[in-house]
Amino acid sequence: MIAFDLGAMAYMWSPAGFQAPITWLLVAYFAAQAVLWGTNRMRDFDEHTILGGAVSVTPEGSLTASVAEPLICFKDLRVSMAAMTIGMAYMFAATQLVLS
Amino acid sequence: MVATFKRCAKRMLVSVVGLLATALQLAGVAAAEGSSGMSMGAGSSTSSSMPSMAHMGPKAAAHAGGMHSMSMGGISMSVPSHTTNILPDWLAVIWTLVFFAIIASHTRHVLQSEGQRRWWHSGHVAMAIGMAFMFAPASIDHFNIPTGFWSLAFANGAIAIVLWMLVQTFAGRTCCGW
Repeated sequence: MIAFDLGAMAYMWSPAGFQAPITWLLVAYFAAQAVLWGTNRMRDFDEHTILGGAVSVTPEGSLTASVAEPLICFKDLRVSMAAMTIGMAYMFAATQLVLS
Repeated sequence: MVATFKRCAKRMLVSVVGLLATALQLAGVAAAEGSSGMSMGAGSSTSSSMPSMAHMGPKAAAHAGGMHSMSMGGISMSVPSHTTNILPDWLAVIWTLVFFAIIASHTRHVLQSEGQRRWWHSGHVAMAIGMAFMFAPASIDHFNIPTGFWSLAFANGAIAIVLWMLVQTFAGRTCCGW
């Protein structure tokens, strides 16, 4: 998820390549993330990670899923991450409105 | 069968990484072309039609007759007044201050955590720094960092994380699920 967020940041810093549908999808994505952070639902995501944990391939060649250590470890992350994702959604919307 | 699945999974992951790298590289090239085609630095300005305005974002805007004066990342220019701007200067300053607070908060988390958590928080610090510069009006942003730098830095960060996740996956180690 953070790789995707960093990719979105790269996109944000290259407004020459802005495509309205992509930009509005990113607005929706970050708005949804803001809601999840604000309502503390992101912690559920963190504790019940995708596919029950990280997927890995063992040396024998079998696919296993193991539980990863939760990343959300501070209570104030809820506020700071909600603010950051709202800010990102707002910047995408503002840029797209100016470009259109 | 397991070997076939493993081969398919590897090919799929390599394809995903390739697509991501290509997309990010294109974004970087677009940003580099954009920054080479406009004047840089706070206080620099140019009148432009809409196509060349596509290099810009709405960090700040102020009415100047029939035009908006806009800036982003230390670049400023004039654009037609019929565009919609929802980010006035005062709001941009408030957002910049909010991101300063987020930087401070997450830097504290970086110092207090270890391992994957530390890297996870570091990513958020980098994003918050980028957003602070993105929102900061040209009048208070004296660094004049080229937009291409930010684009490439975040693209490389994203690629590095994906590669790290691939390495962890194929080494049979647990990495973050999201």
